[in-house]
Amino acid sequence: MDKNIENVIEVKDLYFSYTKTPFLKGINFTVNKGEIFGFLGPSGAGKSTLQKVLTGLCTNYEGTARILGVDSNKHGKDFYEKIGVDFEFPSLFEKLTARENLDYFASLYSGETRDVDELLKEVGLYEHADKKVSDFSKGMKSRLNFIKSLVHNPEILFLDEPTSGLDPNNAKIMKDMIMKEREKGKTIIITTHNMQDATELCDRVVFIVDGQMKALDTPHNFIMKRGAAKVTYSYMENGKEQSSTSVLSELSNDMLLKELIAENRIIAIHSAEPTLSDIFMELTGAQLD
Amino acid sequence: MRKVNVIKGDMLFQWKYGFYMLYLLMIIIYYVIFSFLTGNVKDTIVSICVYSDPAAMGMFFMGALILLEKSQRITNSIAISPVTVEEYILGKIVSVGIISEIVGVILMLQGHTENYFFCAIGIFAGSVIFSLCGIIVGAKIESLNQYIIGTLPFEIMGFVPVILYRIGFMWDNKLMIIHPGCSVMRLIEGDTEMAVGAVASIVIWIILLFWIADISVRKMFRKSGGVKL
Repeated sequence: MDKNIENVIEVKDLYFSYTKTPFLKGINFTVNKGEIFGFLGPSGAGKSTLQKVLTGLCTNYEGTARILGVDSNKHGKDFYEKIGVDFEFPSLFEKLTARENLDYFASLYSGETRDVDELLKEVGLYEHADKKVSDFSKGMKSRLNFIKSLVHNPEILFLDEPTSGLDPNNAKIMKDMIMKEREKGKTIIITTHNMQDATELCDRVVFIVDGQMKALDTPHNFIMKRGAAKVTYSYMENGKEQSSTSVLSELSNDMLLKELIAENRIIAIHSAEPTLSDIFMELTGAQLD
Repeated sequence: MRKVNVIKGDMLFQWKYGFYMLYLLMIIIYYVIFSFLTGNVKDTIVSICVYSDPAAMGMFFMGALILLEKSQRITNSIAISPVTVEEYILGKIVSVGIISEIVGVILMLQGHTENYFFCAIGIFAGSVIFSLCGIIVGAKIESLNQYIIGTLPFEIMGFVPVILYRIGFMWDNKLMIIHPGCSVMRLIEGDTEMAVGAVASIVIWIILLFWIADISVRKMFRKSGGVKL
């Protein structure tokens, strides 16, 4: 594998099917080194299947799916030394302790592995290292599962619904960990239907619906291209609360707003941008779960 | 090194799930039963028990092992690790083979064999054969009920002819060593005269079963990718 490849993932005219009907249809994109790239779409759209093609689990595809310069259907043993996969649901030995799980999975790799204690400390599980996984909460299992995918220090990380089912606190911990790995230069592929996560984490996102790519851009560009930010303000008129909305870029032309400010009659004022979720629905016509 | 680590991991998994305690309990129960037996009857019963339990333990426990792994989605993690299908199978058959060997030899101390070296080879070979059968079935199933039904033909084919063979049915017919179980029984008995033929038969069966197990496990790993084959 060539370490200097800028496009660490290259997908061209990719078709895949479980049956005779194509499931993934004509997928094209590249992912740059150090990028966080998101696959977004509703359940059953083909995101996880696309991830399985890229991780070499679904091999009978047509087209090109190249990871670090290697076709994912023709990979050798060392392919999995370079990639890490964090499945949506934990895949851990329940009767083994956290440390035993990490030690075991680390022992399967031939390259240099990361310090297990350091990894446990990073995700706040060091104190629970010798506890059985079956005694862990869902959030703890998710964090352990995440560092399990890091134990061999992979170049590319595939994360399937990394915050699914986590409470806000654990979701925040998970997102912080993902950002930390990006800072270390890892390329990260996130499969999610959570638009908030995608907006916060991803450098670029691809919308996938019915096995097809509908759009690809940065979350910022999607938002900026699709809808101008708006300002909504409330004020009192004849003893009743009223509200009005203006486009942010044309705010100076809003005479009513000027008048209300001059007369100190504004009760509340809010600005709002369209969310990635709004844009997804507008572009694809599909609704997220 | 990875091969050794896979075997060690399987042994740790079996230890944590109490498989070794079950083996220990089994030795105690058998020793109590054997203490009531004497003479040729005892030798025959011990040989059949060594064949049918420790040597065949792989098939009994393989379903449980694979189902436990499936229920904890461990097979998903293995499928995206550098562990090859061959290493995965090797981990299972060697880890179960080691404990089967120990238990089998301990039980055999109560019986009679002409040659402990051949006997040890027979016990290990029996374990490997039945483990491979267990893997072939275990890789395809999703529940213990399915496993019990799936292994039934292997149990009938693996046990009935061999038990009959050991108690004298066609014992002198050399062609019987085509059956891997009969070959294993010959080795357990320490029969040096037919050892070469028995070993050759066992090797052919192991190669064949390993090949089928390889295909089954490959399909199981692919299933982690959602592909139904």
